[in-house]
Amino acid sequence: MKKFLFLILALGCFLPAGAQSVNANYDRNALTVIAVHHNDRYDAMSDAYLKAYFPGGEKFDNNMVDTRSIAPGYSRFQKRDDNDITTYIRTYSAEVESQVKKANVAGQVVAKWFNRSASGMMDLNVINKRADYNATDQTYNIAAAQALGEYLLHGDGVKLVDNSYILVVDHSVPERSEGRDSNGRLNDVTYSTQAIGYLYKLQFGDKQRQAVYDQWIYPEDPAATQNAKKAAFDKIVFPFYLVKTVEATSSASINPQSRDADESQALQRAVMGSSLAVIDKLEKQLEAWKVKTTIYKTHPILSKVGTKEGIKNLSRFEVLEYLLDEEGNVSTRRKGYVRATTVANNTSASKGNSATSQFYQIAGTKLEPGMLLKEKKSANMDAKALYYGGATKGFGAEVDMLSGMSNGGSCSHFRFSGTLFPFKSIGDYAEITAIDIRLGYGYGIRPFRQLELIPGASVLCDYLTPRTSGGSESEQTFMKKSAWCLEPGVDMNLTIFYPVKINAGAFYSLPVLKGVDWSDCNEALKATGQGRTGFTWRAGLVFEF
Amino acid sequence: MIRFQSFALGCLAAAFLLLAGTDASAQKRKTRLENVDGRFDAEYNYEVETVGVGTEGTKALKVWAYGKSVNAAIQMAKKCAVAACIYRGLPASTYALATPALCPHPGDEWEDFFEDFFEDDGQYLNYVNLTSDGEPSGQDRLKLKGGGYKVGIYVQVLYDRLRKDMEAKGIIKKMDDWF
Repeated sequence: MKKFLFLILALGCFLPAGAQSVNANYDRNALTVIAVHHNDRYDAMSDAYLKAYFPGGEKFDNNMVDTRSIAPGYSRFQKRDDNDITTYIRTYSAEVESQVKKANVAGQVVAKWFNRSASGMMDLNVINKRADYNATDQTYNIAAAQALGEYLLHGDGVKLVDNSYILVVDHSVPERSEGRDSNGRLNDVTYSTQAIGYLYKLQFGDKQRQAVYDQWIYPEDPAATQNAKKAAFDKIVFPFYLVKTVEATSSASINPQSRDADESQALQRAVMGSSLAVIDKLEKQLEAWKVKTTIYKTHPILSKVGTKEGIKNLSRFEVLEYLLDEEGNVSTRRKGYVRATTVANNTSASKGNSATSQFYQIAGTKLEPGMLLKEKKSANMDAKALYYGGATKGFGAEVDMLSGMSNGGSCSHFRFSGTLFPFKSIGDYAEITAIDIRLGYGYGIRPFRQLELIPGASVLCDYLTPRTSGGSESEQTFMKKSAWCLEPGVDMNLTIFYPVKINAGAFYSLPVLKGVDWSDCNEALKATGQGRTGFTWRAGLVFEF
Repeated sequence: MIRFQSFALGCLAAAFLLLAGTDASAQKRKTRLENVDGRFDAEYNYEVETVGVGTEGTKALKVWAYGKSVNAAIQMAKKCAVAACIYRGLPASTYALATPALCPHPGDEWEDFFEDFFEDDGQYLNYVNLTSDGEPSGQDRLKLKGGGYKVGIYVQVLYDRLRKDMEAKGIIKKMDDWF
């Protein structure tokens, strides 16, 4: 038994191999978001949220420019599947790019960096401010030890201009669906939109920098020179290129019966949600957008990142260690995974003593200060495939939404699961099927990082029906065939090969409300020792994502 | 007799080659991982980079060195930073000119002094400040596949103070003596 436990714990330290080299540098990126207009009534919805809200959050420098939309001149698309969307993107991406070029968005972005006024005067205030904000304690300390001091940080500011991205978002025609209660009253309106994101990157190298400096207007320049420089700057073509295209869908619902129901709010939320989902997808795919930092201290694990980098509770990071072989080749080895627990507010320029965020190690081996942390976006969910044993046997799936991780690694699990229990020829019934829908809450406690014990309780709807019954189900007949139960119990997740875990749990099902038909069926099941209430256990595999 | 002599010579040659090989590999390992008798010279394996113009009387450097542990490598890198100023000189960079060595060949009479000077808690510590934030991190902390670490740390060497103290001890000539 001891050997078995040791083997399981040792397995829990194993991680999928990762041997490629990763660049440890991370600099802030600046984002410009532009909507695609199609000259229809939905144009206003994309405008409204871009006026009120910068979708890049704290993680990106706000590079919103005067141009908030482009109008390529084709109709708004309907929601599509993967193949169709690829064809659509291929067809229209050149047109989108040409519109971005025509609107001189890249030029406006550069003007924003150089704080260019209407008269064409420029300064370095924005660049210097962003350079200070981008600096880490390491770069601050290095600068402070030099004769130029903190001014050295400003030298790096111009390099940040090259980290400018332009995201063009094209929203589909929103789909509206309605839901009604048993009396036919409208009780749910859902809007769903699909968004395509075209991400472009500005190229700002020495040539472009020189072009800007050549047109720099000095106060002592004669008016004619100032005008000439202003006109010349406007003619500079700043290059940019397409980095990636992604699509994402989002929906939002509203209950029209509620007092402050406003359908346009649901539509706005769906539009905003799809735009944020596009950014989220890009963060997962773009190396330059993944936050990289290092472990500052262990016991507890601390790192100098926080709200400035868009870190939230449960943000997941991969821990990497750099290796050097005898030929001088540098590679990285994965050492584990951590999740943010206490996030520091670090939204001020570094002065060498930045606040630290705390992390909890969820997988891997011993971590040491100096190891690299690389953001690994996560949906903060556990997906489970489960086998139910005990009196009744069945198969089920469960999704746990993780929330609020404490410094000790404890976190809430909001659960939703569905289970199917097929029975054969019982009593007067030819076949009975039991369908369980559970909604529950558990609180995961970690005695050590590989093991999570989750005591909790669920509200369970156990629906029993002979398979032959068929026909449509009304709310009344459904209630007759169902029992509502309270199900306290305890679960256990054991990490064996992150993100894969073993799950085992034991529960006790207490019926609170019983339908007539359910009781009859249950009596027949009880007679064969397969009653639907009482003790059950389950086991299965969990995939954390 | 001739056959015996050939055999004996062959054995001697083989033993010599074996010893030489062992010595060479041991030497290689030693120079890579640890300080050799507290002496620093051009053969010692470290890299120095001038990162900019230091504040008055100081040098801002990045030093790469080896050690069995990260802390040992940091300590070694600090020694190397001071040693580079004394024996090797500092390379030029985009922002700073090269700096010649204070005393490339101090002479045998100073051997004991420098052995003490570069002891683990020796006087060299008076001339070097760590400017890295915490332990070396990311690509500045390399674990060697054969064991040990190579680390890169940012340091500030109190160069003027080091030079003045060397002058006071008579290890190097005072600047005034040149004029």
